[in-house]
Amino acid sequence: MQAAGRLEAQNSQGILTRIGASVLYGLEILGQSVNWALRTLGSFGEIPKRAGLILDEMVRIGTSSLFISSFLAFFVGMVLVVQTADQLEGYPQEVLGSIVGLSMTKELGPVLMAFLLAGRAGSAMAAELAAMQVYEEIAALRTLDIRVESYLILPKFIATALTLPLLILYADIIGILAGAFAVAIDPAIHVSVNAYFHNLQAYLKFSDIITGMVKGLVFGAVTAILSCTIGLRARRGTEEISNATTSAVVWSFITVTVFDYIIARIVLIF
Amino acid sequence: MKPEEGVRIELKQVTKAYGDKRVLDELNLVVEAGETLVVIGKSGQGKSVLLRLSAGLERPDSGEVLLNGVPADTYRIIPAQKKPFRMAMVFQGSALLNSLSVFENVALYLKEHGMAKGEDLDMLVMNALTSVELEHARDLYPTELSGGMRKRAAIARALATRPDVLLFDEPTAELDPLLSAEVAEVIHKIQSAHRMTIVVVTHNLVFARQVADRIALLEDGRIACSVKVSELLNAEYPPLRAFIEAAALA
Ligand SMILES: Nc1ncnc2c1ncn2[C@@H]1O[C@H](COP(=O)(O)OP(=O)(O)OP(=O)(O)O)[C@@H](O)[C@H]1O
Ligand SMILES: [Mg+2]
Repeated sequence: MQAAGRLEAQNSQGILTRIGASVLYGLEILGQSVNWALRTLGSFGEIPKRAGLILDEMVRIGTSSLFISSFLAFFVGMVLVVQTADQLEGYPQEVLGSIVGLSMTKELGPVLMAFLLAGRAGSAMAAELAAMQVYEEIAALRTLDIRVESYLILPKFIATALTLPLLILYADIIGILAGAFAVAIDPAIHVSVNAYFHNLQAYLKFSDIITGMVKGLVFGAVTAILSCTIGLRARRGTEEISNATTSAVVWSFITVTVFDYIIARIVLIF
Repeated sequence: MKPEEGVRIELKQVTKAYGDKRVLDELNLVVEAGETLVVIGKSGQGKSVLLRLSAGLERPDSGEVLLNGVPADTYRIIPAQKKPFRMAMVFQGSALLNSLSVFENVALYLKEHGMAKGEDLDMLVMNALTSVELEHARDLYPTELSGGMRKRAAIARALATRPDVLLFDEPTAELDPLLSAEVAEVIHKIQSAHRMTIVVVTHNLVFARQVADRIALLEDGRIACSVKVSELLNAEYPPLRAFIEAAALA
């Protein structure tokens, strides 16, 4: 009787309970991320000591993302040209240069590279830390008086925050060149490559490139902290490793998008 | 709290549950300074939990875990250089860092805390590795080792910290009888070299008799009985008897 009643109550509250549970889950991750972020900032004094590990991580992130980011940026650059040309019907196609340049540097470069980084490096970080948690390597580190935020999170944090802006700069360049390539080979486009670059130069400011790279710095830092936090939440059982991996990617996507809006809004003020 | 006097471990009314499952239930246990205590008990009785609590890696739900009077979880967060004594733990699954070679794993503590470098570090690490016959594996990575080699590397990592307290979770589970005897020999050496407090969890009663001063049986969340090793074979408590008979010691 009692059990049946409880079940009924559960069903009628089903959706609300579940929404409530996921809100709580989100807040929990947020709280833990802030906590790890503060602890990581607190160990900034140990950056020189971790220089080797930071460099290792940067190489790891770079090599895992470089090829695929070239590919992505190249096709996005071409798509931008073709798509925009299509939309422009009637208007002069000279504006292609600035449109590709501005969308690439301010928005697409940072966000695409951040997503790529989350999918590649973020998921790997979450998986690595989750496995270390499950196999008690984290506990072993604690018995050796080694702080997780200094030994494990700090190098990943610094490395991602430094690598993502570089990756974005690289993607900007590839994307813009790919746009020029599309301008050159596509018979439907009637501007010259010269005009494309001329228009780009006229409208693209140095500060746009910097804005994109600053976004990258923030996105990188956020992705690293989230991925590490989610990885460290794993407890026992290997299925927690795969859960951590996917959830790190999803949470990074969401958070990067939110921060993208926040930064865009702040930039608008100045 | 001088380490020369050894470290006394005291668990008072310790309760620890996971979900609905009470693993330890008002457990009381004292390990005297310089004593080697072997804890036996059926699988899943909470032996590893007992060690994790003693190491301060987890906190009890109620009760106290004291290391020379200091709560274990407080002790855990004292920075290495300020710790009044050192404690090392060998995990049941070895828990070596997979990203580091055997040498780097064993060197980690000394290097991280600037306690040795260069040739000194080399020598300390190689001594630890030699004592578990692993000097040839110094440049291998944990994934390239057998289970028994991993266990020995984990023992070397613990020894290299020159601890005052050593917690061993199944040190011989994956070792052949000859290697088990070697590990017993290593423990004998450190016992005589300095007053170390040692807690060993093992199913291996032969090994237990080689190293223990006292043997305690963990059952239903408590220490059901504990006997001096010299009295083990005369023990009458039925569950302990069952262990002894199953191990064909008597
Ligand atoms: N972190 C944890 N979360 C949930 N349950 C746990 C956790 N740690 C231990 N347990 C449970 O506590 C009980 C005791 O576990 P423990 O690992 O201490 O057993 P054990 O005596 O060491 O067994 P074995 O001899 O097989 O190693 C088990 O039922 C286990 O499932
Ligand atoms: Mg165990």
